[in-house]
This record gives sequence, C-alpha cells and structure tokens, in this order.
Amino acid sequence: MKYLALKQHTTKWTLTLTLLTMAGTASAHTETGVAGGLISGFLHPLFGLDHLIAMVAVGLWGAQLERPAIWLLPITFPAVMAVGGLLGVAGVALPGIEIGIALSALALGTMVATNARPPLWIAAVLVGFFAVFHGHAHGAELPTAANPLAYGVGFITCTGLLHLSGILLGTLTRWPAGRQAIRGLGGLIAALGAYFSAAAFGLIA
Amino acid sequence: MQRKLPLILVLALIPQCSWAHLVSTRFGEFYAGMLHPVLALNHLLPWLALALLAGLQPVESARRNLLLFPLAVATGTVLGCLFPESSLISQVNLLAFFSLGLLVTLALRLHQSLFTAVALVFGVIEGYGNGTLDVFGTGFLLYVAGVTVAAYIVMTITSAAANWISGHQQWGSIAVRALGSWIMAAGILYSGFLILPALQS
Amino acid sequence: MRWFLPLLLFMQLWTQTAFAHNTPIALLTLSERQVGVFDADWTYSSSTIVNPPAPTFPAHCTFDYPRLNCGETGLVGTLTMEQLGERYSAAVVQIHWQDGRTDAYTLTGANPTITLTPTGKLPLDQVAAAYIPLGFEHILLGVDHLLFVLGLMWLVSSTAMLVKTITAFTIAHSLTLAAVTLGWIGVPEQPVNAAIALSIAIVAVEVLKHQRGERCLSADIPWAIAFGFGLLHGFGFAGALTKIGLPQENVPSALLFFNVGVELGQLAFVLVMLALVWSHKVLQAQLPAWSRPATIYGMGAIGSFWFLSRLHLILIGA
Repeated sequence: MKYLALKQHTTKWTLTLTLLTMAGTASAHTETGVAGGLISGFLHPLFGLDHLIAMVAVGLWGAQLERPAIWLLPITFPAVMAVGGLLGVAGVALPGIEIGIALSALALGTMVATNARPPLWIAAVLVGFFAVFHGHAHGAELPTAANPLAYGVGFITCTGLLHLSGILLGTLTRWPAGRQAIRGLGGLIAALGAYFSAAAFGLIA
Repeated sequence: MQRKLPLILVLALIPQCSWAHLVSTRFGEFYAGMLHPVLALNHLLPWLALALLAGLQPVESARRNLLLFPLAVATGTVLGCLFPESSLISQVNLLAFFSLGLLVTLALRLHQSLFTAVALVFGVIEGYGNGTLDVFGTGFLLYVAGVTVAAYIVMTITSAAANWISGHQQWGSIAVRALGSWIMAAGILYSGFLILPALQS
Repeated sequence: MRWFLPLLLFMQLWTQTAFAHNTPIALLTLSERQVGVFDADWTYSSSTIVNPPAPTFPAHCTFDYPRLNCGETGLVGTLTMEQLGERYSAAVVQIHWQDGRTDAYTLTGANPTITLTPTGKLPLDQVAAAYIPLGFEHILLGVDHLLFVLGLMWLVSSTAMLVKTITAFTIAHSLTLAAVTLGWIGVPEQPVNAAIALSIAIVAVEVLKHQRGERCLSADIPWAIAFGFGLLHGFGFAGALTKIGLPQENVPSALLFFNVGVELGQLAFVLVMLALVWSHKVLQAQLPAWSRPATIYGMGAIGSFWFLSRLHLILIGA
C-alpha cells in the first residue's frame, strides 16, 4: 500500500513535469504576437459597453469623493482586478459574471448619481468587489491570447485609461453646473446598468 | 501540497529561459542586445518598475542607480552568456516583476543602501535572463554592450521622468503609483498564468 | 612589446567596424528565356549561412531550380521570401524580361512579399514597407553618421538652432542622395567614405574649440557646417541605396521612402540623446569635468582612425 502511494506520488510529479514542459513550449512563442496581444487586450474592455461605463463610473466616483479616494480607487482597482483575473486564468467558474458586471454599472452609476459619500473603506470594498468580476471576465481569455502577458498589459492599461477619463471628466465637479452634469452622467450609467442587469437576468431579450 | 509549493514554483519558472533567443540578427548584435529586453514585456515591465521606484527615491539613490544598474545588468548578461545551464537564478524575475510593482504602488522610500542592493540584485538577475548562446567573439561584446545601453537608457529616462513629474505636478506621484499598480497587476496575472496550470495538475 | 597586443586588438576591432557596413544580401536573378519561362540564379555571400532563403512563387508557376515556368499568364502575382531577417538582411530579386527590361525588387524581413504586375510597378505601400525600414536600419547601423550628428548636437546652443542645424543636414543629404540615385552625378564610393570619416574628426575639433570658449565659425552658424558635410553624407547613403537595389519603375518613391526611413532613424537618435541630457539634468547627475573633452577626443580619434584606414584602402587599391 505504501508502495502504491509512492507510485501515485511519482506519477503526479511526472505529470506536473510534463505539463510544465508543455507550458514551456507554449511560452516559447510568447515573444511573438506582442502587438496582437496588446491590441486584443486593449480592445477587450472597450467592446463591452457594461465594462466601459462601469470603469468610467469608478473614475467619476473617485473624483466626486475627492482625496484620498480619487487616487485610492484607481490604484487599488488594478490589484484587485488582477486577483479576479487569476480566478479567470485558473478557470475557476465564478457564478453570475455577466450579472456582476451589469450590477456594477448600476451600483456605481447610482453612487455617482446620488453623490453618495460612504466611509472610504465601504467605497473601496464595493469597488473591489466588482473589480473581481471585471478581472475574471478579462482573465478568462488570457491563457488563449496570442501573447498572454501582452494581453494582460493591454486590458490593464485600457481599464486604467478608462478610470483616468472618468477622473478627468470628474474635474468638472469644481463647478456647480459641472457637479450636476456629473450626477446626470452617473444617472445615465445607472440606467444603462439597469438595462444590462435586466438583460443579464433574462428579464428582457 | 504545502511543502511542494516552493518547488513547483521554481519548476514553473524554468521554461522561461528558453525565450532568451535573439530577436533578429539583421540589425547586428549591438541592436539585438538593445532590443532583446525592450521587446520582451516580461523584461521591460520590471525594468520600468525599478526605474519608477528610483524616481520616487531621493535623487541621490536614483543618480547612483544610473551607473550601478547598467553595470549589474552587464555583469548578469556576461554570466548569462557564459553559464546558461544554471538558469534557475534568472527566474526570480517573476517575483521581482510583482514586488517591484508593489513597491512603486506603495511609493516606499527605501534606505539608500537597501535600494542600491535591490537594484544590483535585480540588475544581475535581469542581465542573466538576457544572456544568449548565439553570440561569439566581437558579437558577444557588442551584444552585452547593447543590453547594457538599453538598461542605461530605460533607467535614465524613466526614472528622471518619474522624479520630475512627482516633484512638479500635484498628481504626479499618484500617476507614478498608478502605473506601479498596473505593473503589479500585470505581474500577478502573468505569474498566475505560468504557475496556476502547474498547481492544478 | 606587451603593450602592443591590446593596441593591435583595438585597431583590429575598429578596422572591422570600418568595413562592417556590409550586411549579407542574397541576390536572385530571374532571366526570361521564353514567354513565362525563367532561368533562376542565386548569388549570395555570407560567412556563416550556406543556404539562400526559399522563395515562394505565384501559385500558377512551377519552380524546379533553376527553371521557373509561369506559363502564358507570365510572372505576375505575389512572390514571398521566407526566413528573411533571420539570416539575410535583405534579398534582391532581379528580373531580366525578354524585352530587355530589368526590374529589381528588395525584400526584407519586415516586408518579405512583393506583388508583381505586368507593368512592373509596385503599389506605393509596398515600396514604403520595404524602404522605410531599410533607411532606418542604415542610419542606425551607420555609426559614422550618428557620430557626426552627435558632434552637431554639441555645437548648437539652443533648440531653435538645433532644429535649423538638423534640418540643414537633412536637406543637404537628401539632395545628394537624390542626385546620385537618379543618376545626375556619380562619385566613387571609397573617397566618399574616407571624407565622411574626416568630417567626424573635423567636427570633433570644432566642438573642442567651442567648448574651450574659442570663437569658431561652426558654432556661430552650425547649420552651414551641417549643410556642407550633409552633402557628403548623402553620397554615403546613396552608395548604400544603390547596393540594396532600386525597383526601376519605382525609383522616385523608393528614394523618398528610404530617405524618410533615414530621417526617422536620425530623429529617433536625436530625441533619445536629448532625453538623456534632460534626464541627467533632472537627476542632477553631472558627469565629471574631464569626461567631456575625453569623449570629444575619443570621437576625433575614431574619426581620424577611420579616415586613415579608409585612405589606406584607397591607396592599396582594395
């Protein structure tokens, strides 16, 4: 019995080694397709409107909340998103990805529209929670990308730039009229989020 | 499983070495050396992270780094070209990828000697990862010179830009930290991509 | 005698650099014997590689070395050369048509495909894709040109003057490059190369004078010296372009794009240098006082050495 256990052990190792070598063969191509990987990664967040508006909402909300949220949210988001991405890479099925992303647009849009000011940690946890879903959606396609690293860099950069555009738009909050415009924009994002949520739940076609 | 983890990690990193081939000999060995680290994101991103970190340090640290990092890279490249078998050392790269990004995100001000030590160790490892067997004679010298010049250019321009922007703009240091968090995120995803399949088996 | 060996090695190294401007190029000659039937012939030289790159002809052609048969359709369609860039810098395909016309096309790793048309005219984007990288590559591999540009940057004191000087250099070498390539003037290559080397030494002397605070004409009007020597460097570029080969039907556009590539490479070099200077200022990383004259002396020494070795080549009639 002991012998058998040992044997199983060895088999497992052989398998691991084989897989590792295979990973090596796959990675050997990684220097090729950098441009393609970057572009496909960069476009990924842009193709889903629900992704796009949720990311802009993060920037807008950060700008509304002012310091330190204005920089804390965009800096923590990529890190948490990467953790969600890891789940996607590992192929761990996360229930309700589409619902989570659609709800994130709804929730973050509502926060901006109502000019909600919860304590910082609540805002961070809320944004972080949704970041996992976004990361998972992008990360799931990472292993199949022509160049996984370039793909990852592409979608992280795109997400970051969407935050930035939200923050830049958010500088309008310096003026009273701008403040109202931003809240209106938040309302629009929330409305779109509601639509996507309804679609994700199968309420509308 | 717990005890096996470090070993698996180390093993997962080995396949990386096979990438260190010449980009193209068309431009000659000097440019092959120069382009090698710059065209491979798994080298370029940690370099950028170190340069951003240098830009956030007191200017003396950044200045010293301009000389020391290229020298460390040169040493590493020579070692990598001469002793490619013991390639295990170069794989700390992945850890550096993540941790340098983290340091930038946290905008940690390290003690000058500590920062220098980090830069030197990282430089040697990175140079090692850029070593290649495909160069001989004069080509070898040119290749090493190319990698070294690339290290100098990337380090100098990026750390100066980071230093300037964090000193001259209100949002500057935040922008640098955000970039750091992007690099860290890329490092996390990339490490996961390389390691997770091995863990799952 | 012991000190002699390093010196010899050093000289050996530099002499190599002086000659090393030739990148291996493979030449495929196709001569039309009957309509649509060609004889193929490879000419290639490379110290390490034996086999020429493998060409892929249009699908309706059958290729059985050395005979290429394209039937009545003739040699039209796409021709691809795999493995370029890895081993050969470029491959030139020369086609001698039955009617006496000769076309030459250059394929590179970045642009391994050409489309052959009955008139021999290439689409403009293909010419651009082939010749911009070639020009870029040529200036970046031409250490002598880069050293000269570096010398010019040392002479100027303001951004406006730098723009003027670099523009003058650009206009001048474009003029002579065009003049030679279009066959208006011809100059022997070796004296040109020697003179280019001499121009580096001369600029180094001017820079040194300028740094010492001596009044020198070249620092007052650096664009003039840039223009004068630019004419010379243009001859050098022309020599390289002629060696690469020009498609007969596309000479003006190929010339234009090669020049664009040269300018892009030159601009990239200047920008990187400026960025480095700025970076050193920001990080307050000043180099020791002796390093500047040392670099200039080094530049002058290299220029002089190249000049002498190239002159030697002319004298021994190599």
